[in-house]
Amino acid sequence: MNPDDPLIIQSDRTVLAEVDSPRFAEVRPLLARFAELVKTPEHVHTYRLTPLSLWNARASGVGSDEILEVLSGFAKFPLPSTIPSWVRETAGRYGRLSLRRAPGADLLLVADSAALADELIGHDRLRALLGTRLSPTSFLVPVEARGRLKVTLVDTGHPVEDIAGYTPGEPLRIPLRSHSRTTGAAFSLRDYQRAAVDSFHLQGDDRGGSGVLVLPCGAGKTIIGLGAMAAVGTSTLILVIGVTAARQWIAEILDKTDLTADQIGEYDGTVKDVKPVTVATYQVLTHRDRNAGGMPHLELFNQRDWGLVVYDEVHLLPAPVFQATAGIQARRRLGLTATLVREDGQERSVFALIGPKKTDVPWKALEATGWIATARCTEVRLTLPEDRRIPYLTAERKDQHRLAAENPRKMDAIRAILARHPHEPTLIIGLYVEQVLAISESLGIPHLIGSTGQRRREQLYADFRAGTLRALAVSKVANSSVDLPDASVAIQVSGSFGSRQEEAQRLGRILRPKPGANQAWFYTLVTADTVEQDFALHRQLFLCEQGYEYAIVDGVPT
Amino acid sequence: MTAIADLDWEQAIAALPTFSVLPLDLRQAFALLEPSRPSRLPAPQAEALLESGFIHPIGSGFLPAGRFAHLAELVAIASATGTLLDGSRAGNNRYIGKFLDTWGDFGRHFAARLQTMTDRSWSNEQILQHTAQFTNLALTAELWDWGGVHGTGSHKDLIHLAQVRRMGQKLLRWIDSLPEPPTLTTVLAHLPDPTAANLILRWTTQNLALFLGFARDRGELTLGLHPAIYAQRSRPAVAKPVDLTGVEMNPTSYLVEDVTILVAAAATEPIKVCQDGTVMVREHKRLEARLGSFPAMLEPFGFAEHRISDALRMARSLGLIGETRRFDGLNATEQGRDWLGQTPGRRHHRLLELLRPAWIPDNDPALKRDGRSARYALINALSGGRIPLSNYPRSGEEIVPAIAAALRELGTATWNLSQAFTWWSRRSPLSLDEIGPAAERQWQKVLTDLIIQRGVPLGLVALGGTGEKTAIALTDAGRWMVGLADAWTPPETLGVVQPIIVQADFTVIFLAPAPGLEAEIGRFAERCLGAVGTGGLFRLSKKATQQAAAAGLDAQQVLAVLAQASAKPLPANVVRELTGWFAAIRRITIRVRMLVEAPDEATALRICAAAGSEARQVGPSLVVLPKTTRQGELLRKLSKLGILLKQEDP
Repeated sequence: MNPDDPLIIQSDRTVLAEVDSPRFAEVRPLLARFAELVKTPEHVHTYRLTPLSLWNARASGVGSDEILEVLSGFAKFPLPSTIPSWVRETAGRYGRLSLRRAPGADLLLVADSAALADELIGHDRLRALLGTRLSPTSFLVPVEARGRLKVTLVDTGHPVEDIAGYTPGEPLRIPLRSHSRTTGAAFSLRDYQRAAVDSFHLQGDDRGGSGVLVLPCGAGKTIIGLGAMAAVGTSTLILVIGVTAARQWIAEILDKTDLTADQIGEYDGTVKDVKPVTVATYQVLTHRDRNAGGMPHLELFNQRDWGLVVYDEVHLLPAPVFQATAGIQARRRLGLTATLVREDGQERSVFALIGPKKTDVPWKALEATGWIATARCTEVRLTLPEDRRIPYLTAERKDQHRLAAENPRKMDAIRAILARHPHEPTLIIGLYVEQVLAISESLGIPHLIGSTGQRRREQLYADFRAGTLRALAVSKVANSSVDLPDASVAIQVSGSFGSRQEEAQRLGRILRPKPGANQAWFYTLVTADTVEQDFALHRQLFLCEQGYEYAIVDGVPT
Repeated sequence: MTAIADLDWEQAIAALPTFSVLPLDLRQAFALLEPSRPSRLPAPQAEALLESGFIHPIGSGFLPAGRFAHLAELVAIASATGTLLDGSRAGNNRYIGKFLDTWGDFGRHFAARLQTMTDRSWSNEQILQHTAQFTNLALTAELWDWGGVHGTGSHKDLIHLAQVRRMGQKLLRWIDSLPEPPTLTTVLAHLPDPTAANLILRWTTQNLALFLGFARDRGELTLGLHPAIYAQRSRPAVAKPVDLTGVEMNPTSYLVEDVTILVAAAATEPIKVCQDGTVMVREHKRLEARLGSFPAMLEPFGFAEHRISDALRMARSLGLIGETRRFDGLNATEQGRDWLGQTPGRRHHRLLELLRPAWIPDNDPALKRDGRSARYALINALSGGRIPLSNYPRSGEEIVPAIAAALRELGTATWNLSQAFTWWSRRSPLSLDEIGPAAERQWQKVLTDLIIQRGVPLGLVALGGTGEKTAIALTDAGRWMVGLADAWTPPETLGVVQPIIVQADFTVIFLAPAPGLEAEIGRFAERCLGAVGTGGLFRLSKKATQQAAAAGLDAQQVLAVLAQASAKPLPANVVRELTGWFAAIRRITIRVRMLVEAPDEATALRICAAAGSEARQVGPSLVVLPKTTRQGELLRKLSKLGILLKQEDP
């Protein structure tokens, strides 16, 4: 036992890393290469070894010996006896199969042994996808089966290294600007952004060109996307989670590249422009045609000779898009996300169809270097006024959340918080439009809700950016990729039933680097002893797991 | 078949010289005859035997001719001897009764001899063992004394002739000096005269000191020791294993930890067991998830699935857990809670200390002090009841010290595992080696069961290397346990005073194993499945807090335990939430009351007045009375006031 070493490896394949260990800083980047980061509370971080994490490691050139060396070299206690054999066996599966270009139109699946090839044809699902067996260790694979084969292989525990290459797509120069087109501020990729782009592109090698980049909120995933587009230099389809995010991408492309508006198309519920660079929403792609049936917009994948497809927030990628993605395995694919964990457990599909993880930048590292702000989280607990207590207790369960969320005492708390931060740009975020409007009216500040027109929005953004507008009340539109500039304080007055994802997105609104102390404040107003407090516990857990210090204060802060 | 006691040796021996000069194939054919039932024989041999006057035809078969009838019986008995021994060895669990059915007169004679000596039913394995001992006695005693043996038939008096006994013993020793059983003809030539030969042969064979045999390949009758003794002697010698160097040994002690995990579980909530004492299936799975990983080194021996039952039996035998109330499951005893408070090294020492009397030599004063019953309990703990020591030729009480004696041979050396077992099985302190490979296999199984399934998990023995190169060595604890060292000091793990960290996400991380604390925290936190000993073992939650409150804990107690054990200050949000969860607990009282519904407020007031001070008006027309109110008396009072009980609707 060496108490100074940071790791505790558990037989359930979780790895705990003690942050205060003198060797933690040394092990963290090593661990990130082969283990999934699950949570990062203040003192002990949790990682998990999974088949995918090991295969991701193998894809980036990390072998099982190296993995075991790190684990045993930094462990407080001897490794559980089951771990070494499991790591060797699981990691050893990657690289035993490769998918290559065959002479002619088909692909070639090559196994490292005849026994493995025999095992593959023993699987009914695989046999259906494999073509002629050319030799004891190789099969022809129809090009259209590429994606389905990869998914099936991963499902059966045989990850395949896809080095069959890509279609180049329509050439398109996408130079990055050295200065922002709108503000004139100097612009260049940060070091970690450049490294992420390089790890994806691999200078055009066939072993690069598809994969997922994992970066925390506020790390500039859009910018990295632009960097990848510039590196690949081809027509690009960008898939995002909503219209606002789509427009944000378009604004960023226009602001930071030399592309012009006529080269960029928006493809969503209202506009359907297909241009050399097209930004489309997941919703429109998965929209079902009631008359004709099916999802006609999935055709967008084939409407142009895309050389690159970017999947924003890849952890939210809907299942039908996976299916479409299976058919475009010859195109380069870039996934961007803050987490590889999917609620639907489709991590394997992400691995097989988008590609292995190429980069995982820990947010603490970014915070330490000042690329994201330090956030202080505070939960303010307010009691319900006496006259609302009985109506709350006797209300239907479904109504209780709203009654608690609209606790009138929250208004006093908002005023007190605004008074505490008189010079900080502040967002007041609510779930219910009526509540947002009431706050706006009561405080005399503007509001931004779903029905706010685009011109009005842009005006509000401009005022907020210029500092003439200090506080803005926003509805759940703030959850998506609205780039509200330089908000330092967020006051969350109500939320969607403890959604962790919503919490992450709201927090992301204030994490962009700030001048001076680079400090942000994140307040959550919660009605005590109500269902809202129960839901808030989920949010609290999420933030604590991310390593934020979480304070709870009772009553209106003074 | 004639019993050996009734055999006319004189007649049989008289025919032997004629028989001995027959060609081999004819002697072999003669051996196929049954003495009293016509048998078929191969035509050429039948013709030759017929011509020589050895047989005569009966129907389509043959019987031995008159003067050769006794020889035929002798050959039949001799032919059956080997088969009988093989059969008795194979039928490990058969008893005498079954034995008699199978082997007829000869068997009855064979068994009857032994029964006279033991007066009880023995298993065949025991018969063989006893025979071997009998031979030993015959070979080594000054005078072959058959005291207590009762002869049968008309030769009873002669049996006790000292002169004959001496000559028999002399014959036995001479035969013992030969590498293989001599032919009966050779034996007869060695004996002084036919009468003495007759008596000596009768006594030695009847009393199972010598065994007749028919060497089919030579077609000759033989007389020798127990066949198993020759089998044992003819086996190649086994060399003592050499001390290996450079083998990395892996101590894989886990049983103490398993026991501790179970005691910690029982200290948190009772372990649910079935009526037969086994752990209920769901509970078993829950406990299994808490165990540390099973040493890969032991996987080939395949007993991982017994971990829970082994640890449970050990914990029960040592009094660490027990049933405090019927149907309540198994709880940690005071001893068990004390156990949890010890350091891992101290626990290991304590457990071995309790088991040591079963392992050390008989002359150790500590063993005498502990007494027989304690030793039985310990052996049960040691074998876990799963290793059926009672199936072996000696009881567990004898076997465990015997194994300790085998281990003592190891000393400080490292041996190849397979060679060690071969060596030990040949040198069994139970003397089973005298009765052949089958017994050796059994002994080797006992050795494997106790050394691998107990010695290794208890940290007495370490294994190293892999496959055929697997090596075995005693640990320091093992040397102490088998009496090679006077004392053993367990390596003390670094004492971590504050072994946990309570995180803001409500997880409780154990940076070092602390089962006592684990049991304590288990009272108010949810255990995380899969985590064992160290790591994220618990999560603080509202639900667990409510259960803790129901069990009588309060926020101060919980926070005190956490704060005292935590290496870091408790996160403010955790303190706040825990306090809040406890503060939100409300206790209510449920009482049964009599509720009186009046038609109006005025009547309710009149009822209150009539019922006295115990009545309380809880609504305009509702009156509550204590459960103890006498309803009949109240109704009488009210009826006087004109307030009558409403008839219930049908």
